[in-house]
Amino acid sequence: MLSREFDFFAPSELGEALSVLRDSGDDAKVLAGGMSLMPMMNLGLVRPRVVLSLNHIDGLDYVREDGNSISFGALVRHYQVASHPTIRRFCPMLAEAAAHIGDVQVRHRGTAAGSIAHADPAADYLPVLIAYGATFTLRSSTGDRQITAEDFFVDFMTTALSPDELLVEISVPKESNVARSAYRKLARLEGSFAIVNAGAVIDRSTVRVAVGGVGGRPILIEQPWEIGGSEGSVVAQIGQLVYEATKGVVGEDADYKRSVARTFSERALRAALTKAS
Amino acid sequence: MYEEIVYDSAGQLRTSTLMDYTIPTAVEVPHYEIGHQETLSPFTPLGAKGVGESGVGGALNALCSAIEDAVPDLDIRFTRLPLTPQRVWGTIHAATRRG
Repeated sequence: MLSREFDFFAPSELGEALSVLRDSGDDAKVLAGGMSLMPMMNLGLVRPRVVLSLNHIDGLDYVREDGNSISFGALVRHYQVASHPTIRRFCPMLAEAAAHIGDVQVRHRGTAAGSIAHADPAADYLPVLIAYGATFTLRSSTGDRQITAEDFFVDFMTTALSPDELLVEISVPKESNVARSAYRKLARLEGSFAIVNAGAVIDRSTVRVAVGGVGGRPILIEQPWEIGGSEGSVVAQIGQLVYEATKGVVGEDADYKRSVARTFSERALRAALTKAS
Repeated sequence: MYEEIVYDSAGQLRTSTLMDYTIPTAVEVPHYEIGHQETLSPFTPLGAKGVGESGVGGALNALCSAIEDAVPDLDIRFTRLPLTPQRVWGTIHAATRRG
């Protein structure tokens, strides 16, 4: 049950949406798929004065190949990310992660940009976008700025977005021909938020593993491939680095979380290594 | 393995939605077979007995025993449900090896 009245805007132009945010950004919540916002409003966890829907704005659901990266707009839904041939070909780990979100209905309604801006630390996209080195375009009525995924996620449901800004585009570098990647998730129920999740990208010279669910934002481990020895030894060393990087994790199940964070980053790495390069 | 009503130390219900309460779906429920051992009740006209809850007890014990059996060299005993991953992990890590 919605616990208070709010003003509802559903502009058909992006410029108009940015004006609404400029005028009432602090009190406004942006609505795309509503897969997080609506339950939170129903539970009384957020009580915005203004709800701004993007759903009537044309041209925000594109997926585009831009030279060395794939870019897509704020209204691209999870099922598009999971099934779009361009994303599946050039950013397969992103498609893999999108397919894990919620259920069929949620994936057809919820948007990637919405999940990213919501920034639940156990969301499927977060470690994947950080491991890939994705870049986001934030737009306000005064202009655009670019920010890396790593800088964007600040803490538990806290991002670098200003109240007057909208996340309008996500840009993910294409996996090079020699890169391999894999996503692994531990969750109690199919489609639920992760206990921990890990995205691993390996190319000729570097290993990047990002792990979510441990702390307020995902952690990133980046190491040159030459850190040593056989594949098995590199996997174990990265797992140990993940374990050490999560030292600050607190709570009654901190030991468990750190342990499975290590296990799932190792599994993601091993899965990536077994893919043909 | 899943369902539990959890209160925090202040008495606040932490599993107030079906998502938090963790209802297993078709994906999570393992394949199982039910065996029948029929014994008619001598106390009712048709030999009928109550059903439902009486069948649950065996399944719960079978689950606990299966996990204990999976790590035969550890001296563990599961006496509390549900068998959450955290609880199983914690019990196994705290266990001592059988001498």
